[in-house]
Amino acid sequence: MSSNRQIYVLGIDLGTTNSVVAYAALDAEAPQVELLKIPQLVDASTTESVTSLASFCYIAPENLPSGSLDVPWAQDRKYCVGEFARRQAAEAPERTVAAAKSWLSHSRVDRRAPILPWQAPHDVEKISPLVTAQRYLEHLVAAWSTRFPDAPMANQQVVLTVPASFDAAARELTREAALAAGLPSDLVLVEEPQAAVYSWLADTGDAWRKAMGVGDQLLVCDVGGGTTDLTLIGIEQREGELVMERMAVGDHLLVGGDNMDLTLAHFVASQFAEQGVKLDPWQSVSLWHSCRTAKETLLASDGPDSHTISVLGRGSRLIGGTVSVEVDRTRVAEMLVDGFFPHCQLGDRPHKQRASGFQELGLPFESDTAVTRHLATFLAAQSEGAANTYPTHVLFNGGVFQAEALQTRLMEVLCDWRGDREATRPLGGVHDLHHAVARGAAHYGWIKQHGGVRIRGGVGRSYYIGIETAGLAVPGAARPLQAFCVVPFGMEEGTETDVPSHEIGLVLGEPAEFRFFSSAVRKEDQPGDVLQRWDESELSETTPLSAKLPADETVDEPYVPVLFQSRITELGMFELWCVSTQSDRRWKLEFNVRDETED
Amino acid sequence: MIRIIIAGVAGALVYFVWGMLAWMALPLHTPTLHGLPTESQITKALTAQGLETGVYVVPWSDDQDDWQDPESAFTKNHAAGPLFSIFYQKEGGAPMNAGAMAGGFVIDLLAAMLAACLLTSVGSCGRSYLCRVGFVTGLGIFVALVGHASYWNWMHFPWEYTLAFIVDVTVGWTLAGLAIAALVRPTVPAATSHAVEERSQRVSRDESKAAAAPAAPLRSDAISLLATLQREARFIDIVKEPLADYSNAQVGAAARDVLRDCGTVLDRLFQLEPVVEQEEGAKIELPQGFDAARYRITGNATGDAPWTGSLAHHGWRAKRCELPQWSGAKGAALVVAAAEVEVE
Repeated sequence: MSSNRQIYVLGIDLGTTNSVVAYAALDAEAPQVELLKIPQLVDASTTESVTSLASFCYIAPENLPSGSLDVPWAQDRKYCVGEFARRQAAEAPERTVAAAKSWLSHSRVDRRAPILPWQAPHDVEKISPLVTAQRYLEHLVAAWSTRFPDAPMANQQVVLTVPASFDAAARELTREAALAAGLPSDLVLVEEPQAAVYSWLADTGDAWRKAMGVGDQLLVCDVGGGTTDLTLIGIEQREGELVMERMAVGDHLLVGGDNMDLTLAHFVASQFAEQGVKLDPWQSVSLWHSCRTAKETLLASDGPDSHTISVLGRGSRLIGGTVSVEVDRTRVAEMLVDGFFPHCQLGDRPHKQRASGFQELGLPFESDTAVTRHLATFLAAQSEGAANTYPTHVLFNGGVFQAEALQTRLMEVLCDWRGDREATRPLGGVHDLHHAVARGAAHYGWIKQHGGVRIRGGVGRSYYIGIETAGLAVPGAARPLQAFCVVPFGMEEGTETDVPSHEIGLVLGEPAEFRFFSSAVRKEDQPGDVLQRWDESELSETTPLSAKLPADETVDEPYVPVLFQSRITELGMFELWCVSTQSDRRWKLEFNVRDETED
Repeated sequence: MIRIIIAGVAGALVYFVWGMLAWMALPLHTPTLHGLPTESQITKALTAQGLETGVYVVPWSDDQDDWQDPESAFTKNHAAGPLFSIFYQKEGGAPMNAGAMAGGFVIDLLAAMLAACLLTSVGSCGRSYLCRVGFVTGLGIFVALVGHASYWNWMHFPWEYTLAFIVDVTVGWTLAGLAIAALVRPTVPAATSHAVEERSQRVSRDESKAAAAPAAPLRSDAISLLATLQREARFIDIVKEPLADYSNAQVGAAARDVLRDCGTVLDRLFQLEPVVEQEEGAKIELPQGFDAARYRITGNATGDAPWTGSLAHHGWRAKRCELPQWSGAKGAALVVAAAEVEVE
């Protein structure tokens, strides 16, 4: 007897390296958030249930014994996701998809095309970033159905998290993958740093009003395995009540905890090389694993002065083949804390490496791994115009901050910029760094129905379409481009706006395509504003928008004059419509993720 | 509750209509009931005795000894016959009046609601409609036995008369059961009933597979645990290696990682925690009737508890036991770790 009633609210953290599902009963007095145990393959033919699903997808070779990749709900699969896939990443990297989420937001590739594993040999059947995300979500849906057969996920209230830095196109793709995987169509997207704040609010309760006051600003610093996500939230007073308002979100930064572990692993591997030991790929991965533990041990507030990192012998002769090096705390702190969180000035900017003529199309990893310099850029960009932008509180999120020295350093840097040792404080309380996002998402879904403190703020970016100016064509030179603002920063969910402009003629029967830009820093632009020129750091171009207007036999005119209307749905999705000025017809512009934006 | 009332009304209506049929239309009861050839004489004889309303049994004796005595007049009369009972109502009344009809229906209603009420608590026995109808029929048979059959036995009711009533209540409650069972079903927790239904469907879909009995696991949990310890911590490798060949430092370097990873596995699968919260060395009191599975007594324990002693080891217990599930082929059930071949 499956029920159509919403019984649970689910928070799903679809992470770059790990995915987590948290849930709570909707009719409870207070939300009791629990984590779903997700059955997954940990080895061939071996299933175990753990609270997170490794976001890896392994594509099996043809000769694999049938049934090896069976999961309780599917037989004779030719792929698997989860812990076994993560382990396979070591032994068969060319058959394993990793960081699919970063690919999903990478606007320079066709995200519907089978391109992953990136640069895999020809005999590997590749899949698209979209399908990979769908497979992770399908696994979570199946795990849920196994645990709660009477409460299908499609009937529950589901909140899915996305990085704050995801642009409208990446959100649309995430939603598309989610719906294809069987999530409900009234799925709500919430930004990960906000979810972390909701988790903190759930743990703190009403005491949060004592922890922060009017005019305070909260920096959420979310450093995951592969990405860093920054969000600034202001505390304001409205009708006598303290409220939270999201002020700004940072750009998508591809630097995270894995970079740190890898840095340490490279260093240790070079030490081994000095001893004349060469590590095979399997040992390299086990070294990476050991380095994560070493990082957390050495960078804890009362960590030891040195730590032995060993790599066990490859064959069954384990002790004889084990090699170890001693790493000391100062050296590791220097490498990781100074390497990723260096002391710097608020005026410093990330170092840009000069791009070589021939650039690989892979993921655009940051060339400067200094999180503090990216943070300086983020804060400086927010300060322009508004004088008083400065975080008074910091909420840390992500497993990286298990290493306390990193938290301490970030606090030092923020205080130094202010010239005041007390200027910025970390938010107290126990915080589950690994699961906070999923828990917070479930909590958000619960208060959406029952009421509670919510973070206001609307969209975190302003959006523009590019319009080529009319004028004399100059051979060899592109027509000058103007950016036409269609969505202002902070536009609220559930609202729509008519964009004031001259009528624009769209040709019927032919696809109309618009270049599309977004900005996290131009907060003053209003719909209809036209930018003649802009700084490259202000506006970033993303996936183009297009619509095909079917030819209309009843109208003789070859083109139709339209105006734009933009809308942010209740569920936080961006939509841009072309509305005819002559009839009541309208067409929705869709993200055209198939075409590469570069010519 | 509403459902029980609805089912009660429906059951009572069916039973009431059946009663009318049984008495008025069908040759069920009428052949077993007769008038007397000289009704007026008997009436006269009885009224002459000035009887009060009540039940009169012939022959009768108030003396218990007479019942045992083979020579008493009572015993002789009883053996010779005839035997008869008189249900004597001094005041008369209209035959088959509305009051009697209403009373009859209310009695049927109470009985049908009771049947519905009992039906809700028969658990998974009431899963199918036919089972539920059978349950109500059973109630009818119960009445036939404790009521009519025992009157036949003790009160010497004629067997044709008794049989007619047994048929009446059994058929009547079967018909009422058809209505009641359609309207009420046992209240079972939703998840369980779903799982049961699903299982029964699966069994009926594929009876030949004998899926009803859970198949014996192909691989022992012990092997699964060894495989996990080897996969994640290289446990087998280290314990199978001859230690004599290595220095303490070498063993230590390797063991440190293996032990750490073994600990991670055990924590995840078993969540081990001390049986007793106190620090080791702390004084601990064992009252009479303490849980012998949680404490092992050593040293000088004479006589019976209570005892006082110091805690030498806090013990361990697993808070959970969640081993990986294995689904491989039978031939591989004993393979703890597959041999690895790196293709060149």
